[in-house]
Amino acid sequence: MEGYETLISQFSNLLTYFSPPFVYVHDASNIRQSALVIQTVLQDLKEKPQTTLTTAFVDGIACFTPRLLYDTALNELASWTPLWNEGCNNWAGPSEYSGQRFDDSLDSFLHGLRALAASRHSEKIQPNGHSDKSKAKARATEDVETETRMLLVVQHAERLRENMPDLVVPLTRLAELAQVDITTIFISDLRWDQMKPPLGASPDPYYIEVQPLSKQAMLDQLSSLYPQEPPTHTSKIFDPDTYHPDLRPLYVHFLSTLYSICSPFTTDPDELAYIAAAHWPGFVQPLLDERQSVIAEGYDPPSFTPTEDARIRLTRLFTPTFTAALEALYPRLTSASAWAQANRPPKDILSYAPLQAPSVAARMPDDIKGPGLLESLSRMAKFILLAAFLASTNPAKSDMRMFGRGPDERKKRRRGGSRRVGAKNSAVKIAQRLLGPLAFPLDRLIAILGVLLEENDAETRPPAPEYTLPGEYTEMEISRVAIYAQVMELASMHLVHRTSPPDRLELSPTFRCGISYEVALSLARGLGITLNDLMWEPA
Amino acid sequence: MTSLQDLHDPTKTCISLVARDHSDLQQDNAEYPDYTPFSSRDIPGGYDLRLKAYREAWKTCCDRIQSIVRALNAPLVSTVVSHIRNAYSKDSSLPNLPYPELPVVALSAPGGHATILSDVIDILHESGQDRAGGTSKGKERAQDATLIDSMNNSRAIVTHLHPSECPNLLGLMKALVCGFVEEQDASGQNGDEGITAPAATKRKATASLANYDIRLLVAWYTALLELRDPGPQLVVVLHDFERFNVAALQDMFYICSQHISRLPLVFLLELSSPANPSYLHTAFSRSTLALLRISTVAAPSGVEVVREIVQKTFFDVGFEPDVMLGPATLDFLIDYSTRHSASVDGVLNIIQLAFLKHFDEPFSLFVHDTYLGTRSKKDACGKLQRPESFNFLDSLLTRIWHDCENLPGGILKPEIDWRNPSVSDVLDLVFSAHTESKQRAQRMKLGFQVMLLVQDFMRSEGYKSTSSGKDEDRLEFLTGVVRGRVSKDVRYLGMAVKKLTAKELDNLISILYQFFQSLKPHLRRDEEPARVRIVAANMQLPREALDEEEPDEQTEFPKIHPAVPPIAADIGEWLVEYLESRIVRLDQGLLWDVWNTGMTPFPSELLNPAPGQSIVNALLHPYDFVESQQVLTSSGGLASDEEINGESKKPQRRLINVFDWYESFSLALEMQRRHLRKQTRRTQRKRTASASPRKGKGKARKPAADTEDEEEDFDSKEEEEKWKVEVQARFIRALHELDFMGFIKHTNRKADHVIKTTYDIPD
Repeated sequence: MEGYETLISQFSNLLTYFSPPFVYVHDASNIRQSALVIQTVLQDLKEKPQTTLTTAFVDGIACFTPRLLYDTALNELASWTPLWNEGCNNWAGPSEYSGQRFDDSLDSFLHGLRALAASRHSEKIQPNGHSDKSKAKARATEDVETETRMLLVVQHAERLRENMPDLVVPLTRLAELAQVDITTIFISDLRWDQMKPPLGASPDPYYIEVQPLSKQAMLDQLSSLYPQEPPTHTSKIFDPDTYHPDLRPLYVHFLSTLYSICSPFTTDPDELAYIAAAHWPGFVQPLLDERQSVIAEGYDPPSFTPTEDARIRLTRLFTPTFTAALEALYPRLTSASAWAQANRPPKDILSYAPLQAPSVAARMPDDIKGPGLLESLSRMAKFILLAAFLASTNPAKSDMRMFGRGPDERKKRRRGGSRRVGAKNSAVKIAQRLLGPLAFPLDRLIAILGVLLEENDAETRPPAPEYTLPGEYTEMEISRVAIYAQVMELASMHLVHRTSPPDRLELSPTFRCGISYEVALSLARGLGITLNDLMWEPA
Repeated sequence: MTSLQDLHDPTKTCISLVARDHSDLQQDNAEYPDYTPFSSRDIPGGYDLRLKAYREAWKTCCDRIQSIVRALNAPLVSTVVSHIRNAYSKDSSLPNLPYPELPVVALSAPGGHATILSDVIDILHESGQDRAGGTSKGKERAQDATLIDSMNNSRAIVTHLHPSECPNLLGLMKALVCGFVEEQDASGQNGDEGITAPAATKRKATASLANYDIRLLVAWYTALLELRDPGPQLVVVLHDFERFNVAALQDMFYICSQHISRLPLVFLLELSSPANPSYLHTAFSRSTLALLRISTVAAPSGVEVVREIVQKTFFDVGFEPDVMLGPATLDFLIDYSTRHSASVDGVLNIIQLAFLKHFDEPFSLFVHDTYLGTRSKKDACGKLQRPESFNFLDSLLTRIWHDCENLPGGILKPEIDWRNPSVSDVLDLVFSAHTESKQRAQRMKLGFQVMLLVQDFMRSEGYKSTSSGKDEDRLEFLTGVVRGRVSKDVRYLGMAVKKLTAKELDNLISILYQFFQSLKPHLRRDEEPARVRIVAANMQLPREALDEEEPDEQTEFPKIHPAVPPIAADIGEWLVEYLESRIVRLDQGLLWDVWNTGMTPFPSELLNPAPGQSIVNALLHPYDFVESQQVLTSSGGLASDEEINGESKKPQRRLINVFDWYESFSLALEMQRRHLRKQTRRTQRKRTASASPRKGKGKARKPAADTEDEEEDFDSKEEEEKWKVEVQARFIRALHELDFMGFIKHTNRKADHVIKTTYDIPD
């Protein structure tokens, strides 16, 4: 909980002494952590004898219909666990409410809350006896007179606005509407003014802004994750002594190196912990190897704490791999365990003389190497991708000049060139390939594909004497079913993005190219096409 | 709205146009029972017999391909299964992760994955008894020791999600939860062997958890855990993963990741896109990816798989396909797989189509035996001697005679009486031709295998293996083999072998020796001379030469023992001779094309048609089109409305005035009507009561034309009016049909103009 002290104190004071009906917690950096902190604080508060709190945690993503939200909230507030053998029944309320549903509308939900408050009051709540709720029961019996305060925590509250826009206002005014002592807490990574309902329909919340963690707090928090006890089970991917308590000081140094290298790119504590978990077993392996060899030679096992010299050597050896780990793990190109398995350092690397040690190069796991883009696509798919790239970067007006192959082709193209020069002088224009792809209709793609095929593919086709006119063969080829199927397949692979809705049938569908200039260039090179000649604004 | 009101107005003229296409279809079915292109020389009942023969031949071939594919995918299947089984095992997970990750296995198989998935699910489904028995398919496939270990874990429960039933998050969650809860209820009630599921309880829909609530699944799983601990894994298979709604999937993954501690869910994604670029990484946000632990498994795909299948089906000594692929089909297969898509399904389709087409030919009855669908040769003779079979017999004799005359060097001089050949002799001849063809194919395969072995050896030693130096064109090499055009490569190989060192030569000889040793006994007997030659060469090779070959320090080339080059040269010459005698064209010999699809062009239009172009061509050249499709339609020289419209929009203008178009359309129709009227008069004059020669499309219009003609005499003005309205109605219908087919487009610029979207090739 390092770094969240402000939040903790603010929160516990607030809930112990004075409870506003609506609290808004905004955390832009890591909403998971803040929610965890709040959960712990509430748990602690519950334990305290003088407070009577019941809490419910709902998630804006998981509760995607009102019914789910009502069910989850009421069951949790009533400490009720639906059991399979009892038909998974929801909390049904005290007997006078029998037969009434609490989850079919907002109104019945409010009734449910009132029933819950009433039942708390008259100690009717009977936890259904399978969980350790006996304490709660006892407490309920003790404090009959004290009002039970309810807390509804909504994580990812910004999603309510999309899924259930009608519920945002009632949830913020829950205490007022239900006439019970309930506090709604929204936790979100969106600011309140960005999701505030219009016309002032919601009351202004008690606003808590969670500050991003400072460097020291982050490091403290990360090092607090170091297990107190080394893991007991044996594993194939790391040494059992990897998390030995004596190695903890080295871990702190390791974390500070990791932080200094990765913090310009991400300061998310989860991400840093993830990279650390993947990298630490490899980092500490040389030390463990060294220790093993000492034991094998018959000496007493040395202590785990490395010498200063060994620590510096390790850090120097592994510094390049930190960046590689960040590049592979932050976008999740591979998972931490796969990375850790693929990146075991060479055996006994510390036994080499400092300058002769083999370098510790970062490797990618085998399963993501695979064949490259160029190998896995068929020839026609490559042509289509290239045509899509050209259609997305060249303006539609230029097609006639770029691809028109009439008798006056040269004249037209030269005119195109001269205009370009003029444009350069007047104003600085950013090339389209830097501005992002334009959408184009399928017909245009097929037409450009026809030109590309006629000029670059005609020789490789099997002979077909039935086509006598120039271009007739290509014309036939580009109208074949396989071409259209290939376009759709590329669209499903997201190499070409479909911009028109799939259910619109009346017009030609429109697409947008999904590959970069570099990929297009290498595709063109593989097909023997000079891409720059075909681009309106060549690089 | 006004037009709708007009429809209800009884005073307006109503023209009913018969839906021609529909009636055409029905007529076609009636008039067009069988497709028999060679009926003039077919045997009675030949169509059904050939279909039967086709089924048999195709089944053998298809089974072979499936077993090849299965063998190719076997390692993949065990990888996927071990990924799933070890998803939650502690020895393959990292400690100290910030939060648990949801295990996801992404199976990327661009060329089809039906068998992979079903194999994986078979293994996952296997119960403990099966494992102990050790006879199941899955056990055979799961050779991996670790896998069998991990199989001792509990059985997994599998549910399947399809994109069609999960259009949104609610559908997705409902399918996920009900997939486990309700499916297992059902199987539990049926007394299905396997997992003990918690007994189904009656849930009151209004008072219990919603059936799309993951807590329902949690409650169910908790009850399951009370019955058996440790509980089984819950495997969710997402079929056609690319077609799922991405936003809904992201939410589903988030919801499931919140419950990892209570639900051991494993997701198996069936991707049809290649592993790189990864669909998951392009479609999903980073925050979702951070929740998952993705293990990508890529199935072998592309041209390599196609080559493997073709090579092992048609070029493998251990398997004799009933029909060999000829160069034309092979060319198409290779072109299609390199150009368009290389998938197992594609290969299967192409081979199946080639087989189907091959069995059109009446002689293909002889593919399996010479009994012509009877039980014995005697019956077959009897069948051939019947008068109905005369045409077949006649064409067979002509063919045999022609073949025997044209055979180079008179390879086959059958000892039969040509002036008066008996049927039995002819069948014997066919039988011996079959044997001959099989031997020829077998020898070719043997030669091919040896050549492949030597090529692979050369490549492994770091030499060029073909004269062109391009190793990647090995698929095209196959067509060369079928055509018998590999002598250049053969000579190159021979030359390369001559330059081998003693050690390499020794290796090569032992590889060849092993290959011949591993042949089936009858083949081994046939290849006795080759084996003797190899053994002899092995004996000649001086043992000391193997040890002496140390690289020369000055030239860095190995010193070659003086005794080696003559032996190498000998082997090289023998190899060339051997390969040239083995790899011969298959399109020679008596009746060769019965067992070989030969140069018959592949019906590519069936697999990869160009419908748009065909329609445009049909509209532009209606008469040619009708002529070529004579079987389908016989409209007696009358073009349909769309055809006339297509014709009349020929002028190369971008914008067409609809009224002008209408004028030219009505003119064309008027000509047609006069033509009809003339014809009717002629028929009336002849007073023939026979049925009209016009059928099909003409039929719908003809009665109208006839009645018009009769009525014209006394009520021509009213009739003329009616005719005009009909023309208008027909024009509007044709216009809209062209619009639907996408050949014209409306424009907002001018209300009475349309844009033409297709332009014909200038003729």
